[in-house]
Amino acid sequence: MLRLMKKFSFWYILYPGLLLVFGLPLYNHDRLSGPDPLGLSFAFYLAPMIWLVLGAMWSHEQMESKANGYAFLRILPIEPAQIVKAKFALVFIAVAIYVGGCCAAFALVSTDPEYLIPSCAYLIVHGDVCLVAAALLYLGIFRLGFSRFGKYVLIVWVILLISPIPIRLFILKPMDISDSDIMQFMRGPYWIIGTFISLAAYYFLMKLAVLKLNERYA
Amino acid sequence: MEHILEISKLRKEYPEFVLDDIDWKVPKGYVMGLIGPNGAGKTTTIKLIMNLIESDGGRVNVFGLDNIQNEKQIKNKIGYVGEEQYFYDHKSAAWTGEFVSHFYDKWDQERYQSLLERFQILPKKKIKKFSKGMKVKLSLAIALSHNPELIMLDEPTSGLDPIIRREVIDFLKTFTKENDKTVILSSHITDDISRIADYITYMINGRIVMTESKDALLSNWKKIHFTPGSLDKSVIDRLESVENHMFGSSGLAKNYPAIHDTLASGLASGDIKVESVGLDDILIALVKGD
Repeated sequence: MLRLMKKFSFWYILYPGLLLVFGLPLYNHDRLSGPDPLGLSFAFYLAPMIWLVLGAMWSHEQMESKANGYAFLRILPIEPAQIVKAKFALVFIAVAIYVGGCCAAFALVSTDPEYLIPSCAYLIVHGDVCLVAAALLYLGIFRLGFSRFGKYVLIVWVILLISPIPIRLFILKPMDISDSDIMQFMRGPYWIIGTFISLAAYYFLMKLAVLKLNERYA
Repeated sequence: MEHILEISKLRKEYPEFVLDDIDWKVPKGYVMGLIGPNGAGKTTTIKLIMNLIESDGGRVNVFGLDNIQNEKQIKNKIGYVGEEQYFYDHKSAAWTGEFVSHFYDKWDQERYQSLLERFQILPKKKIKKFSKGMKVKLSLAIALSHNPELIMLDEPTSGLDPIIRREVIDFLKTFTKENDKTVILSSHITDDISRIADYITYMINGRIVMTESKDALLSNWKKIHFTPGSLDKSVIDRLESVENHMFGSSGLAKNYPAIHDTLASGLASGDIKVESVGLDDILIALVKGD
């Protein structure tokens, strides 16, 4: 499976490069280490970038589709479950590295749990959503094939990328929910429950994806 | 005789085609040619053996193992070349060899490199720049480089020019004899199969209509040319594809040794002539008689 992951990893390595390009200019040590390090919530800027993992997934599947990768792998002594597990593991690792990296960056400048925990929780929730979205999109790809379903991956990705703006303008602002309200919510235990649920869902969807790929191969 | 492949009651249904409960055995250490017209079910059968498609019934045992329960183990010992060659074509042959080597227990890198050399495949050249013939050769190099016990070739030479086709078949002939491999070669090009096969299976309309050793087949099937009145009606009735023409008639005998004695006088007088047939003559007769 490691060999497959290595083969599939190209886009998952390239896209984090983009994350760095976009993310680094936002990393402002002075502001973060100020009296209210997360006042503007640096997490609000970094969290949506996690959707780039879905971009990596889309690029990877597009390449596999163009190269007839699934047909090639099918004749090798590889079980479909190994292919699915390798793909799901890559998404999981990409999300974990991104979320973990951002949390580590926060921890470097702010050790105050009052700010650190909700910021990391906010990022983790984005990671949870990203995992479930990726798993559902993979189900679609295995069921219908990339040629039919690939465009939906792209649409979901773009929608998620731009979602923070309409969410702020049309949901949070009219409901008078501020960044600090969100941060206050993240201090509660809900994100932990949500993370367990999303991890369980991710595992369940991976099992389902194995069945779908088997059906597609048949 | 030990069999490397045993198929029983294998079935696959498509809207316009049915692979109809076929039973088939392939003896170990021989080359089995699978002949049939387009759409006979050759590719479907091979894909079912490789578990590339799902059957609607029946069983396939390869190396004595169920092909679905033991798919990975079986594929590890099969060299497969399909009708279409699939590769990551933005990659090179060298990369492809290195990639697939991780999945085969008995990958022989030296053999792979020597096969690339023999087939004049540039290891660093991107596969998308390969011709169809080069892709077939690369596919063959991969199929033969992990010491497979069974080599399955599904129409590997279709679409190739006669020179490359001959080169591929001659190489396979030498390789299989030298290494004592079992081969299943499917093709509608009977000339290819005639050059290499020990056993022949004819497949028509989703059914296996005959499996015999090539030598027995070619000695049993003969073309009989006869003048009017020179052959008993009872013998004529046993001939396939009887045709009348200006010099008399001709037909195919499918069990020539059984009628040989009754032809003795006709053969002596020259009223009856016996001619050897090719595998395609037999195929045509079987298709007409189906």
